[in-house]
Amino acid sequence: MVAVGLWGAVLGPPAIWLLPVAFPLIMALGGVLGIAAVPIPRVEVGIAISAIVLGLMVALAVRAPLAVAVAVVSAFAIFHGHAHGAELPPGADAIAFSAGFVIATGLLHVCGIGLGLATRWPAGWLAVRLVGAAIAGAGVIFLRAALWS
Amino acid sequence: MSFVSGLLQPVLTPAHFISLLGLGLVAGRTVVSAQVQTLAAFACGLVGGLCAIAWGIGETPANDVLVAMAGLCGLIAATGISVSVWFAAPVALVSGAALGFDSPPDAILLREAMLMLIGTACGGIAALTAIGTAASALSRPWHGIATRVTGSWIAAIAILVLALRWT
Repeated sequence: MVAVGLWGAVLGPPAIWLLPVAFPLIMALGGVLGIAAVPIPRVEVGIAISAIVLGLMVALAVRAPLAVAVAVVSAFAIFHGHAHGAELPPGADAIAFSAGFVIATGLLHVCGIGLGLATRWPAGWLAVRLVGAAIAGAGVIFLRAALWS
Repeated sequence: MSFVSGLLQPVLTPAHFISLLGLGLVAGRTVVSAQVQTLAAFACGLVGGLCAIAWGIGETPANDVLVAMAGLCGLIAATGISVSVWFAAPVALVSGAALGFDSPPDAILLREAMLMLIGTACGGIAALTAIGTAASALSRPWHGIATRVTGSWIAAIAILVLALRWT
């Protein structure tokens, strides 16, 4: 989630706002699939790969075309939404769960964008890329755990 | 006390608040005359819905309709398009009516219940006026971004709520 905001900041306008607008909407559709128990294979692997790919995009400062960036982020949003929808605790309050889920996601995007504003300065640019590398590294750890579970 | 409870209900009930927020964001992007007409349509719907509640109408799917309207308004706000009054006013009318139908008073005494319904009408209209006015005053570029992001959050919440209820 933080990497989505960071990548948006790296790409600049309009991606800086388009990615955080697209992500919750597509994630909600993924959540619907999870709630409806529509199976998506290896969701945890998809989430881990999302951290690796998005982290690398930030670390390598990949300036993908806007349509490609939205497509990549949207594809991963499906996995994140499905995982949350499928793991909904029984008896959970619909609106409290949904609002908490979406607002928490959005605030993580805002954190990423906030961190990404540091790209205005050379040292900040380096720090953002290092954060991207750290996210990708964490994704590798998650991927190992997902493949072994 | 009942009047105050009713007054605060539209902003303290999550489904009502996201509906008002979504509708306010959409109304705020229209011209001033359309804003007034949209607010009037909402007020008519709200008063109509509350009158129906006062006359003892039974349970309705008003909450689902309200959330669906919130989702629609959220999507419109997320796309950043400006809608005409011919679209905004009917949406406001349906939203107002659904909010009214979904606001049965929890007071037992008739006087208390009536005060609560009147409070809900005042609170709903005041909240929509405040949100619409605030949204129309947003002029900086990042305001537009914040509006779109908020719209996408509202739409996502509405999609999830409806999915949770219908599956």
